[in-house]
Amino acid sequence: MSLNLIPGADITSSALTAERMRMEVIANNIANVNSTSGDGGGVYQRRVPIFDAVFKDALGGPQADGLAGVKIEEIALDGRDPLMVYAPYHPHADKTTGMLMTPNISPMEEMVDMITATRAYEANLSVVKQSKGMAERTITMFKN
Amino acid sequence: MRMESLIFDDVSVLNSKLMEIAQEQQKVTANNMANAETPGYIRRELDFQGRLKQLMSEGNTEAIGDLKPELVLDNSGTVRDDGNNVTISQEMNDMMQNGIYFNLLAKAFATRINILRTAISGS
Repeated sequence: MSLNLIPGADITSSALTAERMRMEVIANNIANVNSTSGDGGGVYQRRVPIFDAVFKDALGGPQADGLAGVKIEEIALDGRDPLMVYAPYHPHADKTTGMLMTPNISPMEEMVDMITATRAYEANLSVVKQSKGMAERTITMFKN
Repeated sequence: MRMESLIFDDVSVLNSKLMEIAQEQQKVTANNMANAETPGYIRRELDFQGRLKQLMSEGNTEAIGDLKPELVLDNSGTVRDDGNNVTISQEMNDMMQNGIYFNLLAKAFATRINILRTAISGS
């Protein structure tokens, strides 16, 4: 339990952590756009981070003390069907049909998510900058 | 417990309470911003103005000092497909206003202290 001299610092740092983790998931999706095996024995499935709001149990009802930011609940499998590609020469292709399962990952979609994550990260950075300013302003208040 | 005091008079109590509320507001904005992408999250805000106004009209300084703002859900904005109604631009705007407001209160408080300081030192 630490002193919270900067208001909402814990909350903002939870958001920064979550957005960073989202970037890592996106990077992993893009890196594995051609992975036909290795993911639980099969084709790579797109990962999706599930965000969840966090609240501490606070005494005395609806106070701002109960707010605790956000966290990534789990990194879930997307669940969409893999793209089927006709590639009979590929060692992982189905022997009879010649169809190969490839990951159903769209770089465009990942790029959009990445931009959203970056924007959210920057927004949270400016929040913590302001919070820090408020704390400093309090300390230097009597210096006029 | 609160005595008639030179430094902690009505105006100072109100001033410091407003500063405290501005800091709480910063926390609430930080939480809204942190959850700007969380599915199903409804933005929160602080409710205190009605009660504060009433206490001020009653002149109840001690109760103002004990006032705690209440956290309430704000269902007024449009809710997107994922159930979230936070807009980053709105939160940023609120945050800027709150920051300036806090600086103003700090300046007012410092000015009050300086008046006392001048009165004490006589120059």
